[in-house]
Amino acid sequence: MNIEKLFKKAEKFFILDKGEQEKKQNKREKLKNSLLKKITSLKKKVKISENSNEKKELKKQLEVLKKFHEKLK
Amino acid sequence: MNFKKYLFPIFVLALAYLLFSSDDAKLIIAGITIFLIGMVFMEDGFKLFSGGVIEKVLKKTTSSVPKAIGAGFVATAIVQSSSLLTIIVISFLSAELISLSGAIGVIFGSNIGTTATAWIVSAFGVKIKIAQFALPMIIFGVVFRFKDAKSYQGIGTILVGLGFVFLGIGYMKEGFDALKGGIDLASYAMDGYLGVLVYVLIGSVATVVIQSSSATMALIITALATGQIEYFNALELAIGTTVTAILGSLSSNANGKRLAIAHLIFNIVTGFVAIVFLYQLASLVAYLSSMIGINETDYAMQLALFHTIFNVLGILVVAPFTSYLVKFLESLFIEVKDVDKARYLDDIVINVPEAALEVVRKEVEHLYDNSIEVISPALSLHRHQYLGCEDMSHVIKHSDEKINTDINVFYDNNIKEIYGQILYYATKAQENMNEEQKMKVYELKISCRDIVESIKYVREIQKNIKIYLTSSNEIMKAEYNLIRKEIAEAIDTINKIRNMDDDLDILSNIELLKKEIDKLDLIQNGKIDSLIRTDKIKRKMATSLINDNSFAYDISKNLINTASILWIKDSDIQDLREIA
Repeated sequence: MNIEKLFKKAEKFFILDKGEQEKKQNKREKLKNSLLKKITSLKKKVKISENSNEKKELKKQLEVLKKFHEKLK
Repeated sequence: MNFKKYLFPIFVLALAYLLFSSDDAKLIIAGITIFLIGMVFMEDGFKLFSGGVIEKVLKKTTSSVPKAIGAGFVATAIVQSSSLLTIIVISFLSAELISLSGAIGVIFGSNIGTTATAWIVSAFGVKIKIAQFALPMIIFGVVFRFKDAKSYQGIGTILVGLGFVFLGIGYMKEGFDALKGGIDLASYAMDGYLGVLVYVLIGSVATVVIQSSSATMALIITALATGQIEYFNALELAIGTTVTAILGSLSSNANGKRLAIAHLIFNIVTGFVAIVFLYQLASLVAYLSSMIGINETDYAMQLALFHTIFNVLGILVVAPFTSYLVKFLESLFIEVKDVDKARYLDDIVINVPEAALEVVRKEVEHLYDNSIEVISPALSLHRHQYLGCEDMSHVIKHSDEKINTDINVFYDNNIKEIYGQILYYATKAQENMNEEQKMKVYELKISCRDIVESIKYVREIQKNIKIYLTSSNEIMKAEYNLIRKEIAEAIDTINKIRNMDDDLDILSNIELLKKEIDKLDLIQNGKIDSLIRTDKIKRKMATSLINDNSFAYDISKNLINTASILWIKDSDIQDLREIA
């Protein structure tokens, strides 16, 4: 293997190339958006729900999703 | 007498006799052989080059029969291999990624796709000295195959394949040209419907022997182009190439058999229609040929057109009855579901990574279901009592009947064999997978280990449940009921989760369940400490309770982990588990 190839491999190993980074960023944004959508729809469900047990469960679920969303920021 | 075992030696001897007795026959047979080698290379090349594109396209385009027919046609015309497509379709069908009607549609479409070979051979193969391109193609193909990148290797393999196909056609042509000087096959031409039947039969037998309708078509076209056979007899031979089923030997499972019969029915109907309307079809070919500019004397091209037209006609006749065909086939072959053995791990699927991943997932799901079948009675519970119940504590309290389940026997019969089959199959399937797919299979293997561990833990708990469930020690009885409740609640919640459509719902409910289990474990440990401190339980009881509590915690955690791997489909959402 020539030295140029070796450097390229090392570069790939230590620093993610731009394309890869961009891909990861896009994935993150997509996930954040889906989480946000889900949070909004759950909030609506909590408001509408008349069953106190269901409301409690929905709120718990909402908290979990909010935490995921926070961690992705 | 078993005639079958003598068939192969007789065939080899006949072949040897032909090869040594006639130089011309040697050339033709060599041509067929080289052509077939070329087809194998082309198929391998497309597998390397497409990198799962065919699989992805097929998955998305088989929602309706017309779409499936279109997908089958385009895919086969491009990859030039109906057998490759057939393998993918059976794989997807076994993995339940596509419906039987979709799979039948693809097979119908691929029948038209295979007619592309006839067009290539008639348009280029017999008109120009195609063999002169063969060797450079093979040479460049081999050079490309030296590269590390899979796409280069794929192109190289396709080039080598095409080179061999061209070389094969060259040899066939040469053989028929030479034969002309000796025997004139055209003198055996037969008219009328007797001729039709004889030549259709010859075409069928030739396709069965050569095991490739494309190679047989190439042979017919070269024979026609060199004037060795009459045009009408060539049409009859072409019909014969269709009246065979290539799928029969490919799969032993019900889906494979259903598809094989569907293909056979299609072929027989198509062949029958073509025979009945042979003369009308020939007139139609002549009319269309003049319309699209095919020369009146260019019989090879007209044969290719005839080949396409009668396959399209077959689809027009059979496709409207696909739904009836599906119903008939589903009643003809009923899947025998044996709990002791793997249900989905079909050997044909192993080479198609995406489908292999799906069958492994389904098999782990099967293993999970079997584990619940033994975990429930080990806890002295029946599934119908606690799954979906309103008040779990009430159900647990009132289910104190001992259920005699020998976990060791159940493990040997319903778990061990499937577990072993999954590990073996998954490891073999990983050889053809990319890194992401390998990782998913690895996670599924971990799930299997978790399931098996859970059964081993429940075996330990079962011993004490048997003792304390009917004991007069109310404290121990209550403690063991809590252990039963913890596991039953985890199974019940997982049962609800697996039916959810939204991955984020599954993920959030799994996280909530995990938290609940952690909280319960903490409370239980505190409670046991207090029971020991206040001398309410003996030392031996305390040890059992601490151990079994820990086993219950591990069982719940293992099952939750398995659920998250099995039922969260989106890999990005699955990754979110790690940041929880």
